[in-house]
Amino acid sequence: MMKNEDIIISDEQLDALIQRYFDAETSLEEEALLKRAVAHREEPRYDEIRAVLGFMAAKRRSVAKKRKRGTTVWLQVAAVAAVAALVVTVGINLTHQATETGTCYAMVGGVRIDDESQVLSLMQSNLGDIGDAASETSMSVESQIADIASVINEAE
Amino acid sequence: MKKLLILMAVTVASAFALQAQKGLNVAKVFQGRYAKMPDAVVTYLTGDAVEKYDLSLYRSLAVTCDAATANEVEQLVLKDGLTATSKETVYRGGRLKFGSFTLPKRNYLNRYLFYVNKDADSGKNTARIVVVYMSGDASPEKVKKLINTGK
Repeated sequence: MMKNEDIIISDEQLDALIQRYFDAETSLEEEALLKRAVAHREEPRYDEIRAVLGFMAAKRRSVAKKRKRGTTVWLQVAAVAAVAALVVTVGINLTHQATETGTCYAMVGGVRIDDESQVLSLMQSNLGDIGDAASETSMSVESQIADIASVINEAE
Repeated sequence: MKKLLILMAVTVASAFALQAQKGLNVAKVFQGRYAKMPDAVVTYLTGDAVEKYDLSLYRSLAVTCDAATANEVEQLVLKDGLTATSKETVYRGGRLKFGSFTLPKRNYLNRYLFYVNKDADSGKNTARIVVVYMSGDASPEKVKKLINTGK
């Protein structure tokens, strides 16, 4: 039986544990125990298990590094793809009708007019209609207030 | 990388004007069957053409249509007008004759909607209607001035 600070395990128990390890029946705690136990054994018959445990530890570290590197790369690719998609979507939406300096057209009875002065003239015509209606409203309100005021004055 | 960021900023900022109009009921008026009517006059201005008015977008529809169609358009305008932060409406003969609506800002842009039915009190079966939508930095006072210069 070998003792060290924290491992007390008989040869028979260790052999049984090694056998269970090769049968893939050991838990992680048992593997950790196995590792600590064989680290302090000098007998040549434990060389094989020491070599296997050392290889497995190195392989686990390598897989963890690859997974982390893979995740980081994936996130970077996803971020670039998202930015590219945003730029393309907004660009397509904007350039669908727009020219370099903006858009200016009118459709009159189904016929397209691109002449800016004609389009602006139509715009002014619309605004004129709005302005006339707004004036009429304003005059109407003033007229109503005047009517109310005259009634009040008469009452006084 | 810097160029890409600048490109993104420009395209996103320019798209705001178009996005501000989306979601409005009157958007159908400028693109749908009303705009395709025989004597419809539709205008669409963005960019340099309207920049001098402090606007990003100007859209209008002017059309002579039957009373039922005018009523449909009126309802679309009034639906959008429900959210207006300020409004002015005049009714004649039970129909909306004039509507002026300041809509809530969207994408930091001021938005205005106007409606006129020139024949609301005429008793005619047809109506000449005008719908105008504008968005941009222009204040209500500036828009009022713009409207008055059109008279």
